[in-house]
Formats: sequence, structure tokens, C-alpha cells
Amino acid sequence: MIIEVLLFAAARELVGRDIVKVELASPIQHHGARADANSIDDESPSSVTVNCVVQALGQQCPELQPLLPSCRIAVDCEYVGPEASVSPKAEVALIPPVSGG
Amino acid sequence: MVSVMVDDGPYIELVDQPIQMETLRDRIEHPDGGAQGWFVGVTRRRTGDVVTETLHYEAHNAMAMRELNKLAEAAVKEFSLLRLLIVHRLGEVPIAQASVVVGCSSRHRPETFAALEWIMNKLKKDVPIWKREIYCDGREEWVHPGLDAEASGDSQ
Repeated sequence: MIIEVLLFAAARELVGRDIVKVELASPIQHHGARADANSIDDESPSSVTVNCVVQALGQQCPELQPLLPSCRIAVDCEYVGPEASVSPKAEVALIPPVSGG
Repeated sequence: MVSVMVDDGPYIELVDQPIQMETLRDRIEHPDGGAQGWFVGVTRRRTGDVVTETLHYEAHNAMAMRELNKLAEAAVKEFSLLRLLIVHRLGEVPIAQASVVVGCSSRHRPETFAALEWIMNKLKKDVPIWKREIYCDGREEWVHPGLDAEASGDSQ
């Protein structure tokens, strides 16, 4: 499965692109590897958790590692938690600490 | 750039040109309002010993509009505001120019005073807008509060 992640600010600059296509292994394998109660509602084979996407993003773009622990994830323009599910059609954005105003 | 105006609901706008205060004044007028207040966030030249030459802002536009609308609607409820507008500028904002303007009106002044601070605190925490500082010594960096410069790829 491929999930596109939008990058902004320092994240975009570190990677040198504003979109990264994150490749994930079969979601079933992912859930098997970390079978906990929270992943029950993410069993659909057409989605993965935010956590999985962030981990895969960090592996694919190691330059993001120092930034990732401070970032939030938004799916379809809404902040979501690590156990939220992500479908391949969703718009996923990596949101580093914001500094508007 | 992007703006939303639903009846007399909050007015939210992201612009890439200087914010024209005089064109915004009418938007917070209300016959029952006994107080009108403005907060203008301005790009600052000096932070401690560091001198900034100019600043650039970028946003996740669609999400920033959504977050601004959410926080504006919450502020209207929380502080019984009669009118509210939030305008944020993106792109380059030279020193001493407005990067953000919040204007509101309420029946009495305590709500206006409190709302402006509350809105700015929320905006700085949740709205996906970032600034990049370009310093006079040639360094540039994204401002990511809570993160050291190395992690955010500070460039020399």
C-alpha cells in the first residue's frame, strides 16, 4: 500500500520534496506484529494506523527522524492520534510544531 | 487568497499581500457592540541578540482555514462575540509589517480583551502555519517551537 504524506516547513526542506509516497507492507502483517486492543477497529485491509505510516516515513526518510517525535499528523485536514486509521485515498500531512502569528 | 464569509459569522482570510486594516474595520461593527478590539502581530527585527532581516510564512492552506474557522467559532461561543475576523498573511512579510490581525467586538470590554489573547494562544498552538526567519548574518531557519535548530535543519 502507498500513502502520500504532505510535508511542510523544516520537514519539507530536510527531505527536499513536498510529498513523499510512503510504502507500507501489507496492513495485515503490520497488525499481526503489534496486536493490541487499540488496533481492532483498524482491521480493514484497506487501511493502516497513523503509527505505521509515521514509522514507515521515518525509515524511508531517516533525515526526518529528529523531527518526527515533535510532529503531529493530520488526516483530511484534521489532527488525529497515533491509532487512527488511514486509507490510501486520505490526505495525510506531517505537521511540525507550528509558528504562525 | 482564500476567504470565507457566512452571513455574520467569523471572517477568516489567508492573504499573500499586506493586510489592509482600513478595509477590515467595517467587518467588526455591530450596533450592540460596546467594545471593539484589535490584535496586530507584527514581524520583529530583534529577538535577543539576533537580528532578523525578513520572514517568510507558509501554511497547509486548506487545513489552516479549517483550524482558523474552528477556533473562531469556538471563540464566538466562549466569549459571546458579536463579530470576529482573523486574517493571516503568508509568503514574505518584511520587518515591522502585520503577519496576523484579529479583530472582534462584544457587548462589554472584558470579552474582547479575553478573546484576543485566547485566539492568539490557540492560533499559535494549532493552526498549521510556519515562519522561516532569515537573519542578517545569512542564517535561515524554520521556527518550530520546542525543537532545537539541528533537528529542524538549520542552514548556515
